[in-house]
Formats: sequence, C-alpha cells, structure tokens
Amino acid sequence: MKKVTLPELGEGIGEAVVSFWHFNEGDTVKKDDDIVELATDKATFNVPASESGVIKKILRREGESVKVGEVLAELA
Amino acid sequence: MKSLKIFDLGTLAYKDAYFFQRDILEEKKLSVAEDHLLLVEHPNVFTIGRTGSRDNLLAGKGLFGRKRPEVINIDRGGDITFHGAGQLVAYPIFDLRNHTKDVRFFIRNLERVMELTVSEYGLSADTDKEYTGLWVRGEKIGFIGVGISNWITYHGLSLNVNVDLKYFSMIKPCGINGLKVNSLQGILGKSIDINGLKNVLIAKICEVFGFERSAMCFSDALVAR
Repeated sequence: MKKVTLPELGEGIGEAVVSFWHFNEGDTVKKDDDIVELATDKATFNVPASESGVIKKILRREGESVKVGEVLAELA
Repeated sequence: MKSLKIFDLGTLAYKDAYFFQRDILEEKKLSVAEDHLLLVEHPNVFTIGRTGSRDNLLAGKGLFGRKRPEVINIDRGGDITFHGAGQLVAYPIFDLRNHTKDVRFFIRNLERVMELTVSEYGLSADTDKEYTGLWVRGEKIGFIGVGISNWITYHGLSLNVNVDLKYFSMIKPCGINGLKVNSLQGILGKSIDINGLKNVLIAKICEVFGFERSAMCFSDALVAR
C-alpha cells in the first residue's frame, strides 16, 4: 500500500484545501497522473501518482483542509 | 542559461488559450521541452478560480442581458477576475524543478516581474503581504492565479493596460471587499502600446527567472502546431 501525501509546497504554506479529485476510489492511475488538486489562496497544486496502481481509499474529501505530509489517499 | 520559447497569440478566446497551455503542459511532462511563455489578450470573459464564488459576480444576467461576458469556472487558484481587450495576459509554463520548487516564491516572482515592468513606465508599484497582485497608489492593476501539475506551472498573470474598467464593477474582483481597480492607462492618462509593453514584460521575465530569450513565435505558429 502506497500512501499519497501532500508534499512540501514551499516556504510559508503549511496546508491546502482539497479542490478536485481527478479519480474515484477503484480507478486505475498511471505514474505521474494528477490524482488530486489542492488549492491555496492563489494557486492550485496537483499531486501526481508516484507509481501506477489502483486508488484503494480516498481519505480527504473536496473542501477539506490538509496539512503538508498528511495522507490524501491510499494506492495499491 | 535556460531558454524560453515565447508565443504571442494576439487575441485568442480564453478556452482556446487554456487548451493550448494544457497541450504544452502535457508535452513538457513527456519530454524535457523548454519552458514556454504565452502572451495573449482575451475577448471579454469573467473567470472564477477554485477558491472563488459565483456570488462575487455582482451583475445578474437580467441586468446586463446578452451583453454580459461569458463566465468560466477554471482550475487556477484565486477568485473571480475579468479578462478583455487592452489587458495583457501572460501564461508562464515553467518547470519549477529547474527553478525553485516553491509555490509562493514563484508567485512572488510574478509580482516582481509586473513591478519591474510598470517601473519602466515611471510607476512605483506595491505588493501586499496579505493579498497577491500589484497595486499602484492603492489600486490594483496586476492579478495572479496559477495552476501547477507535476511542478509545471500554467495559468499566470494579467496586467491592466488599456482595459475597459467598467467590467470590474460587475464583479467583486479577487473576492476582496472594496477593492479598487485601475489600469496603466487610467493612471498615466494615456493609452499604452501593448506590443511595446509585451517586450518589456518578456525582458523582465527573463531577468527575474534567469532565461535567455529565444525566438518569438506568433499566433500563426499556433495553427501550425
């Protein structure tokens, strides 16, 4: 099981809001596909799949705030 | 020195320019294609970013009828803004892995580009700690909203040059209460040559991001792609 986490976005940004899931649970993703988009005040940041696999579980829904390092989804 | 490929798209519909950005973005993901800069003016359009709300569109359809520009929800950061003739829009499609992997640093650099650009017109501009963008004497003239995918940027900045400011009164720009908006023309009291301004902006982008400017392609190159 591979965890998809919110990476470091740079200095001064500790969290972001989930703004769009590009996939649903059970969908197959390829390495580097944008899985989920998060929004800060003036930027959207897409978190890519670090490897190919199936999205087993989505842990944070659209509108939820997520801190850097927190898990967004599980990939298997 | 990094090279920068520049496309001057002239006037192009918002959605067409968006899909052109996405094409370049996907191409950059697959290869080590150089960074790109698109320069464009859009026909009148309101766009709402991911953190925006339709409530900030003040003008109801009944009030402005068919005259009201189209409203597009789009995947950039930020709230509602207006694009139209006389506003220079710049879309940097940069791989931040070759610059600095820092979202806020990138946005601050875009502010710096606009600040240096308007300084060539004798204007001293300000940025704000709380809000992103560029202000001259308390009025906002430069706007920023970006998207990032695999650390490659898209969307970008807009600078009010000779734009018709009445459209900004139809919205709550950037979702900020009481925000005053102006343009270079409004401040300087004269129309500004937008092609001349494009060259200044390009020079400042190259200076701030450390690019060597490569050939500029015009909108006919878009058709050839």
